[in-house]
Amino acid sequence: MEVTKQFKKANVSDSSKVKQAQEIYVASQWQLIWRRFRRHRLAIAGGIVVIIFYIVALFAEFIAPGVPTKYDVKYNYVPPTRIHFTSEDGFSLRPFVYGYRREIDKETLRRTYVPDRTSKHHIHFLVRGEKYKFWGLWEADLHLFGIKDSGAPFFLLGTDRMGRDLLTRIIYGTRISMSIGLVGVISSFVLGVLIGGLSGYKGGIVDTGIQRLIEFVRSMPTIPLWMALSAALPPHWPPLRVYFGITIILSLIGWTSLARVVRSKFLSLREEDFVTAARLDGCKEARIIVRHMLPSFTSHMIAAMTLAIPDMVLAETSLSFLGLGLRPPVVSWGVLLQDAQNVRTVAHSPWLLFPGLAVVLTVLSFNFLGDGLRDAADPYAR
Amino acid sequence: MRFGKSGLVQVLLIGILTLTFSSLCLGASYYEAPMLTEMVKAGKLPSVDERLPKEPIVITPVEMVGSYGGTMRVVTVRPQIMEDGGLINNHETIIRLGADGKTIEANLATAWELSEDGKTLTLRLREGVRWSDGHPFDADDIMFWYEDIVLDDELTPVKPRVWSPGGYLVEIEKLDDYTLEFNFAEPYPLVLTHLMHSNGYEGGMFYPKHYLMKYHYKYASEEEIQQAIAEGGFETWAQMFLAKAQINAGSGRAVEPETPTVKPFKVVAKTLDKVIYERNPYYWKVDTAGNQLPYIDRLEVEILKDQEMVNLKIVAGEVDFAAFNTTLENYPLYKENEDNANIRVLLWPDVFGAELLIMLNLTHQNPVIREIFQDIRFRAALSLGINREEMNELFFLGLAEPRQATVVPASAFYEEEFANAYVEYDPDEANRLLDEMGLNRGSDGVRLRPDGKPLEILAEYTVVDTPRGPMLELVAEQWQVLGVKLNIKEISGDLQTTRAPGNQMDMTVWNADKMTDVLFPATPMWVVPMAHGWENSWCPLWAQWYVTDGKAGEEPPEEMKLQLERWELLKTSVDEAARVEAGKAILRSQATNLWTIGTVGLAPHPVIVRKNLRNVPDESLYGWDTFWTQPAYPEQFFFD
Amino acid sequence: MATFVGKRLLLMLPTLILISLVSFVIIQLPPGDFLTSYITQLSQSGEVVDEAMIAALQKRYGLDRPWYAQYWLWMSRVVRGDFGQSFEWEQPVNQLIWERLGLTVAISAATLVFTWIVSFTIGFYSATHQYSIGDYFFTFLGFMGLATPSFLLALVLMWIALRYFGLSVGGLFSPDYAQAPWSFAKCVDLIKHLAIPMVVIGAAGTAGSIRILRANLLDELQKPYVQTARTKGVPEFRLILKYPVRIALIPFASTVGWSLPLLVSGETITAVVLNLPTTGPLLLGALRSQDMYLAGTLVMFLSSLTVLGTLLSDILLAWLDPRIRYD
Repeated sequence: MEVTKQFKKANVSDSSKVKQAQEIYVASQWQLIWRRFRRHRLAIAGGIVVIIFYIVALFAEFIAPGVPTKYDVKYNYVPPTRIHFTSEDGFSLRPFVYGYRREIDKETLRRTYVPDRTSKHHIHFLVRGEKYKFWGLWEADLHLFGIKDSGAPFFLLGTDRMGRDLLTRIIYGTRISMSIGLVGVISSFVLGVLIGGLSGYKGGIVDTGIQRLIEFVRSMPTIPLWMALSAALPPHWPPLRVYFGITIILSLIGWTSLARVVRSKFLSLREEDFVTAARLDGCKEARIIVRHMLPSFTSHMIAAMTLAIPDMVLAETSLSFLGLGLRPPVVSWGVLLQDAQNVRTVAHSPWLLFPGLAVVLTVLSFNFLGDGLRDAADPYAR
Repeated sequence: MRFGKSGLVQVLLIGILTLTFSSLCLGASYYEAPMLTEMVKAGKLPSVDERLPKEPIVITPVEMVGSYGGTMRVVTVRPQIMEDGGLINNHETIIRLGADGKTIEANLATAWELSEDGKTLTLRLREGVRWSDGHPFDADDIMFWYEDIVLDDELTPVKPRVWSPGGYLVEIEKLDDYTLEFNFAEPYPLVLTHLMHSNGYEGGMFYPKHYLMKYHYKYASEEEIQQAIAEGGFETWAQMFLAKAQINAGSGRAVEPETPTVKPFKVVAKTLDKVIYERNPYYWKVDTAGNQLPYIDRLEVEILKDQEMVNLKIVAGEVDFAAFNTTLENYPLYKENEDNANIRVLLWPDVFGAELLIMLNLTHQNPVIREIFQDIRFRAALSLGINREEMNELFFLGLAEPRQATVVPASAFYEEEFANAYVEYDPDEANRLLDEMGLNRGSDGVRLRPDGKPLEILAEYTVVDTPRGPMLELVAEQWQVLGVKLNIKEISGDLQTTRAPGNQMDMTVWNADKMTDVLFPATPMWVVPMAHGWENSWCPLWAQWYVTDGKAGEEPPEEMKLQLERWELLKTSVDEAARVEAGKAILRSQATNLWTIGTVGLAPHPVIVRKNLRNVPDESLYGWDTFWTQPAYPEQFFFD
Repeated sequence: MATFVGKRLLLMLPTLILISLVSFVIIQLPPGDFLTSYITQLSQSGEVVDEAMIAALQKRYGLDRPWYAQYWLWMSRVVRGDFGQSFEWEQPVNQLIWERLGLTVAISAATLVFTWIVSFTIGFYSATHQYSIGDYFFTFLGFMGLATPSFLLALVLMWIALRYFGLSVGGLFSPDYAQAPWSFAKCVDLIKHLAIPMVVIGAAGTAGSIRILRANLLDELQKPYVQTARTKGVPEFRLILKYPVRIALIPFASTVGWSLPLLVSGETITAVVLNLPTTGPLLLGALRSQDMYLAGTLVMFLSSLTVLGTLLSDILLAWLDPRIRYD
């Protein structure tokens, strides 16, 4: 509709608009998608957040101010630190944080922390701190930001029950949680396209059979399926393999919706003139599917995939909640949230719910991005 | 409904009235709850004097003589074991543990005598005790268990080990309605432990014969049995009978309302969300003023779906008593809400020898790992490598005690050196020991096994109340300094039940209970390879060897056989000094060899009590060994 | 139409049998059985379970048979309408499910209505005001519900309700009313307690419905007949309500059938956290303790409802939209 509107307006007067309209005529499909996508501001914002999160996931070791396993008995349940610019000495352009003084309530035995004005630590970019292995390959100790005194407390989002820095753990968790969505969606995409495509293209008895299968998988309640499948993971598997196992579980359940999208697209495309033309031209089936049919709905598939990722991210947290998903010492948002799922946390240390915020942000962003992509996927419509 | 001040006066008045009335008519002096008086008046119940035994147990209240009335609200997340419900409506055993957690007191039995050779036990039951339906409790109820359940091969295909000392099943004879004689093939002084603990209770060694006869083929007709099977939807007779008899380790699970009991409360209604109990009108205990116990009218156990809901209910003030699901980590939370929720938070000493007991699998399948694990230097190094103060601070608010896995200080078998063995944090010494063993470090700092592989240990654990996962994460971090890589993995209880006895684990953890004089002599499972259970995975093959009389498993080394011999002595000797010596020898071996590694123990346990719930002691030994609340006498709790 | 329904009903039969078999297998997949989970519980309290007791318990629960024998036994009873005994609750399965069904359906229905009202309003608004500030705002709001892990939201809301509104925690009734007979005050109490589950469970569902309605309505609004009507001067509001909304609701209505199992299972996780007396926690508990007949019946029940729901949807769709063929 937007396109035609523009076109109409362009016809009326402005010559520059005529030019723009002509650009539309000659633009490629992807350019048109981009044009439409740009109009969806929430989608743009979502896209930017998603990109930032993936960058964080990629360079987690460098971006995190510490390492996720570093604990400190003196600083458990420390609340988030405030970043200061002014002190008694006046304003300082370089932000700084105060150290903590720990107090134990004699009555309730609760440990609380008050800022210690006497110890002041400036925040610097690119500081040397805790040692880590970047991507498990190279040893390094350079962090994007931090304080120079490595023994001093620097907990922007507070600490957990063992005195581990929450920000660092959320950042490391990004890697697992964001990739579990991506890997899970890719594997369910492969399954969905293969099975859905077969169903849609072949039709007939194959279609009926596959439709029954999909209906069947969808009719099973998820929780027993999760339980059964995660019980099937051998107990001696190391954490990394469990992680892939869980991804596969999520995709084994999640492929059906993608398969349905693919099937319906295939069904409608099968009758299109250009497919008939290709067939009359003597093209082989595989070539028709790969060269002619697939490209015409790639954009739809990308949108559908984008919308499937947040489901996976959420499912990961639910699995952890049920005690079926990843377990500590693996750090994922679901694992961190499971630690926060108690009254003590909500009442005394609500900052431990921050991983929940990361989940919300991710899911929102992916949804808006996906919506925008879907709206833009078919630039010739309307 | 709870009594205020006027209610108290009312109760007193009623008390005085009943006193005058009954002393005029009958010359006795027992009092009962108003709700029962009504029933007596209506003719639905015999008078209190007729209901009580000739010599009821007199319980001295903790604070004061209480007043009747009120409903006790507690919660559970595991209806199978009833948790706090069972802590209030506690087991009634043949003989029981006193308030000090040590002395044996009379309960259902008034006298018990073990012959000089330790082979014959004569038991005298309290005359006039009645089941909650009014039927007398007597020797037949024990004989029914022995003759019609234990001796019946269909109901009991495998005979219970605790009743077969020396491998021969006990012989029980009824001398008269209240006297029984137990004859053992071997001296068996430990029988007293079983009478006062998990075998000596309802569903353990006595059953309501008059009720269960209807379901037993020996007494009931074929039609009656077939009808009961069909009604309950069962498949076989044994299934039906076992379900009716509730043979399930006597856990606190709620029985059907019609099932008689000798406990303070009886079930009156059961739904998916709640079990409601009412006072047992035939309860056979009184306070010092002659009031029939319990004081509290009703007990309501709400069944919750989630552990955290318990904490919410506590801080919302919706429970009157909670202990089973409370944790020390939440102590500040409870304490801060004392006034909001109208509760008191007590700290009861617990009886865990170790809150986290580390068990390396000494009979590991891999010979390389086994050799390392069996080296005492390795276990000593691991123990020295644990910073127990850090663990104490992080998970127990600094209130627990760093100690080795051994009995509690109050035990007759205790020596200070047992508790202090290898508990200091000394990473240098630990590293020296590991170096001495020839376990050199690889390039990444992890030590290498003799076969060149990195020294990695997988700790598998099941989640129970104590935060085992985080505690293990801490241990993993601390052992990193030693160059020992500890991987941890949470598994389900179901997996634990197969992997631990199946000798498939490297290491697992549990909490070391059974470390008091009540249970240690009977079940020293953490230091003697005597139980092939699934929480006990430090020596699956040796334990299997012992349990199967050498038919399966693997013959244990000399020192282990010595442990078994010492235990045999502890079990069978009637000479007290020799028993103590044997017990100490077992624990000395543990202290020098660290069969299992203790961390911190004796942490206090938070107990939540409504402010107006009285007669709750400020301190009482808490744990399975004492049935959690038995030394606190929950039957005399009352609402002020 | 009749043949169409008949054919579909016939097709359902093998699916249902397959579902019963797979439900049973799924429940048997995790290691161990009810006995091991029971022993786990006993050991957690400290008891040492010896061989004698294990043997007795095995007898009691009849767990010494292979799974296919157990399945066959179970099915032969199911056919007679007897779903067996729950090990954990020691009550017939039918009875347990009935006990839970009433309140479950009530909660779910309330939630569903809440979801539909919210999503219809937002969907309608954002379709007619595409790319406006309001569109962004309401869409954002709708999606917040989807994005927040429900268990977290439930706990936090419950804490807020307790701390700042003094509401009793969890469940559907205050302790005072739980046992009381139905009265006006009890209904008010119930409605107060329904708020949190409705928001938590409903919030997760709105986003999906908003999306469907918005997209469908947008599609319809582009259609020539709308343009025509507009040029003819039909008032905008009436114009939209008269046809596009109706047509946009067709696919919406087709998901009604899908809500059928949702009515029964609800949001299991939320229900567990909120301590709701619904079938969800019953199912989770049964799965965890491997109470196989109860779990099997519930899984079968839920799956059958989905299959039935799909059929209902298809019939509804066929009836609403005459263009759909019945082959």
